Amino acid sequence: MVETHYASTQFTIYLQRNGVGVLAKSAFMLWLHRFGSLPYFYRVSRPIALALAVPGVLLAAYGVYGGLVNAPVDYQQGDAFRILYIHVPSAWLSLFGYTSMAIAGAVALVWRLKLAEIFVVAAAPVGASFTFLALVTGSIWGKPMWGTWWVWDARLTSELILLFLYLGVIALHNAIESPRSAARACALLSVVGVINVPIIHFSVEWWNTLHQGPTVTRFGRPAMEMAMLWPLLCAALGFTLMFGWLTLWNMRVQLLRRERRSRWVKKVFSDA
Amino acid sequence: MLSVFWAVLRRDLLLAFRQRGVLVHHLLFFVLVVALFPLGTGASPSILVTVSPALIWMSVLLAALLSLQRLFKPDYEDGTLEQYVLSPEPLAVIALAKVLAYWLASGLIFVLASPLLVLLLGVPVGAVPVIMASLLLGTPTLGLVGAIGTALTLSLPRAGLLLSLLIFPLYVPVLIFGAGAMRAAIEGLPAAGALYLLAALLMLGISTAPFAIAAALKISME
Amino acid sequence: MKRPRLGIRNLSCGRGENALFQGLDISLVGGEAARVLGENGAGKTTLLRTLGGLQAPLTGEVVWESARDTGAVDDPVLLQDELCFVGHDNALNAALTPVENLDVLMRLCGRRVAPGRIRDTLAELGLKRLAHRPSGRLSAGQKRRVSLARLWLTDAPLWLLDEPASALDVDSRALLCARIAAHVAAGGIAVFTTHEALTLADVPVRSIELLPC
Repeated sequence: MVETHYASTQFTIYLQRNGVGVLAKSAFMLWLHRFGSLPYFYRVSRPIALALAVPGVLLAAYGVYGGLVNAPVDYQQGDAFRILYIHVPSAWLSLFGYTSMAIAGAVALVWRLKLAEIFVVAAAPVGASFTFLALVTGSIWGKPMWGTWWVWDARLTSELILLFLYLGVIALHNAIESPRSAARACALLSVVGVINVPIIHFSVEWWNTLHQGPTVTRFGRPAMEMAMLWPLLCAALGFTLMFGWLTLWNMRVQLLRRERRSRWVKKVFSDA
Repeated sequence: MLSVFWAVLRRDLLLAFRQRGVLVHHLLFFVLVVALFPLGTGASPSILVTVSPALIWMSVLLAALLSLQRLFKPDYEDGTLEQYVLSPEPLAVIALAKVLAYWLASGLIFVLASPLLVLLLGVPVGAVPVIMASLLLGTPTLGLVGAIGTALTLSLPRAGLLLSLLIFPLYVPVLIFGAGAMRAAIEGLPAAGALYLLAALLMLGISTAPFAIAAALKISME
Repeated sequence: MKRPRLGIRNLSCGRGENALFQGLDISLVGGEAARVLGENGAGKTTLLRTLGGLQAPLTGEVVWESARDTGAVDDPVLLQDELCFVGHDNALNAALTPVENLDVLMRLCGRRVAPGRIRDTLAELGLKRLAHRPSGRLSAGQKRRVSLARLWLTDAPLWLLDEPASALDVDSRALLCARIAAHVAAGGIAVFTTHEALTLADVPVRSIELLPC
């Protein structure tokens, strides 16, 4: 049976070898095992992606609209703060994306779960886009605040290095020809990277306190009003759902590309 | 386990000795970058002293990038790497031995050559011990982290630019603390904090990087 | 004495995603040699690399039963402890002499061999004068002989040999055949690929045929 797929077969072998039969019987493991089957994933990922897309786009639109139009003007920053409704969710997803890639990467390396490998590869461009968005919006926000488009602020600098970490994963994936080794190499690189992210952040903070730039203005941080906070939370949740949607969709593309010679992919397209 | 460590270390040191021309190249690269810099900025001593931490550390980073590309490549090409992976001994131990041999033949040379170069740049003599200590603690970490990148790009024919994209972001902490220690020493401020942080990075590198290098080598061998 | 056994169960291997061959089942016991047959690109090298644990199979497993203890394991490390793998490449560094190269290669397998014994073996293979010359200056056949000298130095029961006779002259090939036959007759296992005819006298040679899928 060609339908028995490598990932799930290897997972079974792993379970047999390690004698965790009890664990395997738990419902979660069975689900994971079944979800590891590639045709099954391909089938169910479509409705799941759509189920993420619709509320994601609606929530993000509501949050961004609420922030850009409805929220009251900030008494210190004027209207400039409104870009934070895009900046903060993007910055959150840049970190969330890389962390999730690293977790999936660790799973891919330990259990050779093919879907986890594909997740790493598929999430990288999505996470990189959000990181780029966070950098651009941060710099636009910085223009009225600091007077220049770019300052070597600790958080902006860390974000820039995070973008380079993403680009490294993407470039490595493009460079290695064999899809299997490329995905495994990316998995390892993202794990190495995620160990470094807090160290990089700490070192940049340390550096920043030594060279405090003269243009940096720091506002006091009064507690946010509910009318301002509520749209921000919606936007963050909406962006996160959109991240899931885009990543899942990219996973489907990567999966087809990798499995294009297998019988089940041919069957999917001959039936369609 | 220890016997394999020594065998690989001895082999690579012997190779470094046989190909000692390469050691001179490392040294010349370092000297040239530092020597050309004043030609670009002008020879004003105040500027040179101010930029010297960045200059020294950037040239060390670039030299590491260039030399690391050859760390596993000859073994990959002649089939020795296969034998490393097939050894019943842990691959991480072999990787650690290789990085140590690499560092002894390149990083250590920078440490020893650095006093001369920083004095050329007009750095006060009193700062020299701290500068040497920062290089002594920082360059092995560069080797350990860079070896992960070079192991990942082993199967690619020309990996130089890609390698820089992979490892330079990971070099940021070493660059910051290394140049920070150097700057503090030049300004007469205490540099112990930065040196401790460099030592902590080195400990973290020694205890984790060999496993990542081993995993990367196995991925490249498949 | 218990005989070692190499079990191959439902093995599928491939380069990247594509399976080169599928469902290989065979069991070799000590005292048997096996020749891997197949066209160019059928996966002969891939099979040897998979058996040695250099790459993971797509499906199936490789089980090694040591003569030293009971029980079968599919842990590559335990197999590698009793393995001598002569790959397509000679694993010789051009700047090191044959003696230095062999010394390191034997230590990597966890076996220490006296330098005198390495020199004697090289002399046996007609390489006496070259023992202390940089390996890079040797001819292709001489390099292959140096690399094969491991077979005279090792006590590993399992040999995986990828084209061992390539670039060898007639005399060296005869020496190699005699050595493999002696190893198998003494209860060892040898799996090899070859284009040249290798006749092993008085030992059973089984065939592993790789059919493209």
